[in-house]
Amino acid sequence: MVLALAVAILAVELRARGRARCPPEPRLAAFAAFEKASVSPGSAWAADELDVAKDALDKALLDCSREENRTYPLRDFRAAADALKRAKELASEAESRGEERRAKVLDEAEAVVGEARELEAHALELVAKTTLPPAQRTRLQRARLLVREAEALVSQGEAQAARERALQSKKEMRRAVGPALAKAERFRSEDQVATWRDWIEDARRQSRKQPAILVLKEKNLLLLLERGVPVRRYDAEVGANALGEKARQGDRATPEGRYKVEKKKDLGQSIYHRALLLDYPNKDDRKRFEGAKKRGEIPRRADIGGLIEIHGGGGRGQNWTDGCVALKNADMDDLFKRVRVGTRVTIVGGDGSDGAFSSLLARVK
Amino acid sequence: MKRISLVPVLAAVALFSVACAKEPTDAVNAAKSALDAAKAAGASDYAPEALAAADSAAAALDAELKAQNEKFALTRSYTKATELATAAKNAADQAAAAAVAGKEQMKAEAATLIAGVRGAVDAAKQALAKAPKGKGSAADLEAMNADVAGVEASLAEMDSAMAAGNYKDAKVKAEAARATLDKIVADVQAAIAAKQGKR
Repeated sequence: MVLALAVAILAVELRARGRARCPPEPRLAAFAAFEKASVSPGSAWAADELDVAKDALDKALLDCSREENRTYPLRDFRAAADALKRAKELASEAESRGEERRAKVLDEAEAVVGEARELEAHALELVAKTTLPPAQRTRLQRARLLVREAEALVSQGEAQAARERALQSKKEMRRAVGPALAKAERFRSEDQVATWRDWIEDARRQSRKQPAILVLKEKNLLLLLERGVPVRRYDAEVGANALGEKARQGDRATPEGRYKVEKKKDLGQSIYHRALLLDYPNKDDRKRFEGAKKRGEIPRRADIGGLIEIHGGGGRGQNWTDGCVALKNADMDDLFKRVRVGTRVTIVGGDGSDGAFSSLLARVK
Repeated sequence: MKRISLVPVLAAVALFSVACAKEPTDAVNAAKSALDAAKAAGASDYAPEALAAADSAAAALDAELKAQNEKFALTRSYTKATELATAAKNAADQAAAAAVAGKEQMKAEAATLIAGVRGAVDAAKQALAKAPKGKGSAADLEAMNADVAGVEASLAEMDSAMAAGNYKDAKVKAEAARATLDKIVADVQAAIAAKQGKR
């Protein structure tokens, strides 16, 4: 009777001291904390901390098992419970560190995706003004898909993959628009701009005697000059190859030079409402064309082309013609009545002030 | 007749039975193999929670085995280790099953999306073929065809990702391609409608 009472008292005492079995609460809490940390999105960025937490958990579990295998009255789980608590804390710390680092990497990835998006906007600005060759346009489309993929990966929290995809898209985008940007350099060339300014000044002088037309390709602008000043401004669309200087038939570039209206085509005489036929190719164009042929810059069998007009049918908001200058029909009507055969027409790339290509180049650089 | 003492006999029987306790190698190996199989099935990607639970069960097993191995050989007992090995194997099997199911689901979703992209590429090509051709629209058509070609080229990458088992990546690519194609088709249809409206 006495012995049974003593055993009962001892059992109650041992349980009160936490000596009966490995305490389940800290054990479950430690497991839960480690599992949560190891599946958290930031776990890849806290590998070292997770290793430390895992070692601590393994040691705590070993402590538990050791105690559970001791003779019942000698068991003491207090140290094991403390170790489990510490393992739980380490796992939580690892999760926090991983999340912090992941957030930082995600911020960096978002910044790179933002750069790719900005470059995409510049590329779209460029292709809205000029047509890229099909292969480059296809490459640009691939690059744009990579931007979309990078955005999706960022939203999924896949920072590393998003960053890599965004960097790849930037590289592809530069390869796609690089040749076009190189062509656009002439819009910032001091020599080229000086020549265009001379032509503009010449047109201004000419307009003191009779109205003259000035087309600024880069600004999509046609000015009617009278007495040295612009009296009319019209939005103008030029050849789809807006960056190029006309070299031959089919290159979709609007020629740059000093021309005259050779013929006025009224309603019914042009498929684009009304038209002013220019005297392209002139002497300078032929000289340039022959020189380019001799230098092998264009095929020997290439034709210089012709039928360059200022016509209606414009207002599409993009450069689309095969080399002509297109105005809205109403603008064409207005211009048509103000000019006559022989009116001087000067077509330049730009005037050296901020235009579509020169400003785009400055931003891309 | 000489009397045989019962105590030494019972002690000998007890010692003999305990000394026979051996590590449950088969059960432990089965648990380890199951965990490896779960990882190989892609559990870290497709069933991370189930894999973490299986890892925890394996950790409990390891601790118990170590504790037993530290003990004097005659006092070892692997009853609990056997139970833990069974639990670890079950957890790993569950992780593997969840991974296989998750992966199959992702594969099916990606395959459906890619099929949708192929269909959308065909639809875009047909729309472009029907688009009115003329002097003024040649550049637009050329650009749109080039855009469709860009998306079509990405189909090869999707197929490669599927063949390599990178279903998540294939899905991301397909979703991006589909959204882009839908935009192109809408642009083509708008251009056709605008052209028809002018007539």
